[in-house]
Amino acid sequence: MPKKVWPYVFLAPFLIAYLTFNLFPLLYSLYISLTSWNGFGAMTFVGLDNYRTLLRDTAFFRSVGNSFLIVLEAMIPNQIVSLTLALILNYNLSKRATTFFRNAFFLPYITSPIAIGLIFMTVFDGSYGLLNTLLRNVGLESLCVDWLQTAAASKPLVAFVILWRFGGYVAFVYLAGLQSVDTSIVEAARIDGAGFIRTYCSVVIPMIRPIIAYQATLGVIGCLKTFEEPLMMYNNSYNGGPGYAAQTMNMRFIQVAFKNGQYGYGAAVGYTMFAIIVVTTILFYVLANRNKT
Amino acid sequence: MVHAVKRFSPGRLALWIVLLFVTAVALVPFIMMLVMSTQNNYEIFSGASFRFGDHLMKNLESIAAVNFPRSMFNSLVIAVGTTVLSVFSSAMAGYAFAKWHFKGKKVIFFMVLATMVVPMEVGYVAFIYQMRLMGLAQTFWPLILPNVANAAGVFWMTSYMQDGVPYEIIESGRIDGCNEMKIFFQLVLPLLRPALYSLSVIAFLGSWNAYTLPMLMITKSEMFTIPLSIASLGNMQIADYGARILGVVVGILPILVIFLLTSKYVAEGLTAGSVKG
Repeated sequence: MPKKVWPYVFLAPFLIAYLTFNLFPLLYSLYISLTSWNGFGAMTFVGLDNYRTLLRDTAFFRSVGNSFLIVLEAMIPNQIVSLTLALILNYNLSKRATTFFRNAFFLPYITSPIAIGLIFMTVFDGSYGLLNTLLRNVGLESLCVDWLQTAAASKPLVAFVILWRFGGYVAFVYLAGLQSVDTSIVEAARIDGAGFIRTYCSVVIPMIRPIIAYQATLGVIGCLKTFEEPLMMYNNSYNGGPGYAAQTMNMRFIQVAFKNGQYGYGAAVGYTMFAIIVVTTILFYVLANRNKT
Repeated sequence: MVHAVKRFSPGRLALWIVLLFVTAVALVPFIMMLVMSTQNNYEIFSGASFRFGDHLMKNLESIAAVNFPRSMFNSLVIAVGTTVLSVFSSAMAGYAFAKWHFKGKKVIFFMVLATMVVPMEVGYVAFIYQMRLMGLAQTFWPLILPNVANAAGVFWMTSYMQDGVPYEIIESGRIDGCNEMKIFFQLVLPLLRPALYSLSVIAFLGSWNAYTLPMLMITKSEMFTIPLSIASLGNMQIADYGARILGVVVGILPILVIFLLTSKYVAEGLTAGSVKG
């Protein structure tokens, strides 16, 4: 076989699977978004009608708003908490202690999100849940509410669950970044009289800024795609709790396309979500990497 | 970074308290699930406690009736299939990107990167139809095939091989008269061993935990995977809360065991991939 062919041979399994089972359905869904189709009968081409309907679909816009609020309430605290944890873990712990904390912090991350939703459904339960039991035991009975029935609580609860799931993992990503920082630079800063906090804020964190920007971008993408946790927390309901308060874009998309069987319109909802995610990601990434030092 | 003080100090004590508190927050929900899975309704409804009950066997009987062992077997078949195929395709594609020059390389690599931003769920609208047309709808293939092209895996393999596989090894194979396939499988793959372990465990976890696509593709309860069974426990209007929670425990237990046995590879894989990007 001529040498020029070999790279394509190595690429073939990946490329064939990618084109057939990823790219093709993605493009075909774009076409479906221009049709009226219930999943079985004939597809009727309707042009941009679905997208016109979407412009007046308040339920969809509400879900978009919910998703962005979840980005704010989950992604930002997640980066702050993870970075703080990484700084602490970097403080000269023994190898055994680091391994212990790593395994403990990774457990939520590797647990299936469906199980996580169900776990927190029991934690936040109004009558027998862990949270209210704790509050009662420390005499804060007045703070007990039926968490899952309170619309105002739903996005913060989802955000907390996301933080619980990802916080420890992201902390270890940041720790790997911190450990790649040259120690002599840190020592130099200390010799120049910079204190602990000053050293971190003005020397170490700027050095790992690309990692922070990358992790925050991944966090934005992940939060915008949130789906399984709120679904299970609210009893496998696609409405996302009281008053649709935690119905995310992705939940709305799957509800419209597959649960209501409006495949054509659902594909349009999906593609709009797709566009929102891509544009937000690019904007965020550019902003986060601005004034690179 | 090395700090001069390693002895006991109030600051150090504070750090430990923070770390142990976070560990507790991470672990308590798991421990609580373990406890609740041994209780009956009366014990559960009298408020969360950490006292084990004695209804474990009764709860086990309840979930055995909902075909749990069967879903575990299904999840295993799908996850192993996905892992083997996606790890091989990622390693081969990574080898092409890292060690070969060819036409279209930049365009294809950009496509790979772009895939990581795209919400794949959007394609499911057509994918379900496609699988029906291909006659694969009532099989496990729809849950395996889309994951064979693993963009993150290819990206990671490429960057791993750029530094981890010297050209000299490939050349020495050519001088010895090996064909290119043999060079890849006998000389290159062994060098990738740690990365292959990490990638395998991560691919396995991803497949085992997947929910959306199985939920859309699988209708028959005997073909359910673990997350589907857990979700159906959530739907059940059974009064039996202990059994429901035991279902979650049994569903995530294999993952916890696999993770604890391979945590070194998982952690290295997950963090290395993210720092490099």
